[in-house]
Amino acid sequence: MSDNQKKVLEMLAEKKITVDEAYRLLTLVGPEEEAGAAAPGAGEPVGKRRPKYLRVSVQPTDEGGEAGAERVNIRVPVALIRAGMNLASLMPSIAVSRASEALKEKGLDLDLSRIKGEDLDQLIEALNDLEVDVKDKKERVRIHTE
Amino acid sequence: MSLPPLVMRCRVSDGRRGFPLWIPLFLLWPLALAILLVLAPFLLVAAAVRWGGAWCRRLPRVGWAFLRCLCSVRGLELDFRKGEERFRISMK
Repeated sequence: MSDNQKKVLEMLAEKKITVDEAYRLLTLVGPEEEAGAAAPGAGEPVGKRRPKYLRVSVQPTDEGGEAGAERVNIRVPVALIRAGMNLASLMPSIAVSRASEALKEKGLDLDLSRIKGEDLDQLIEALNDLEVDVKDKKERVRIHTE
Repeated sequence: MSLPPLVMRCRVSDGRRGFPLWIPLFLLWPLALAILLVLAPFLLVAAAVRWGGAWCRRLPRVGWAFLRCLCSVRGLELDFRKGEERFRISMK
């Protein structure tokens, strides 16, 4: 175990960070050091790693953390997003237009028929930089890649 | 492309009681393959007859994309909690 990993665990033990944050830090610290140990200078910078999973979590905040509060924690493989969008791009035009209409009704103006293979790659690449953290009185919603 | 999910784990609990469910998906894949092999001649005949249709020509790509989707499910985790109740699914 490296010094950085120990520091993360110490911060978790002291409750300075949450379990989710500790997990993220450990996943960031681990591969970099392993790559650095195997071939110095050969490892990609941590920020440029391809994301494997998209994590969506909804947690109650301290003020809104009553007993019946809902918690959601979803981990979606990025490969599944890619494969799903590939499958969606092969849908017949009638189904695509219906799906686009349904999305529009929900407030998402997205034309699925316009999504091409290269757009998909750019989208997946952009996921690497994604970090959404929304907090209100009751809940905290976090969306990030790992 | 990775392997399709081999095991699905579910856990349902209400705080006092709970039960884990371990579904061996790896037993289903040989069965699905056997069914596909049995159906293959009929599918080939149907494809040969209806090859002119745009949807029929798209079918192999759709099949491949569906297979990729299935294989990509591995690693999916869903965890919902409300109070003491908890529902969790993970694909391994």
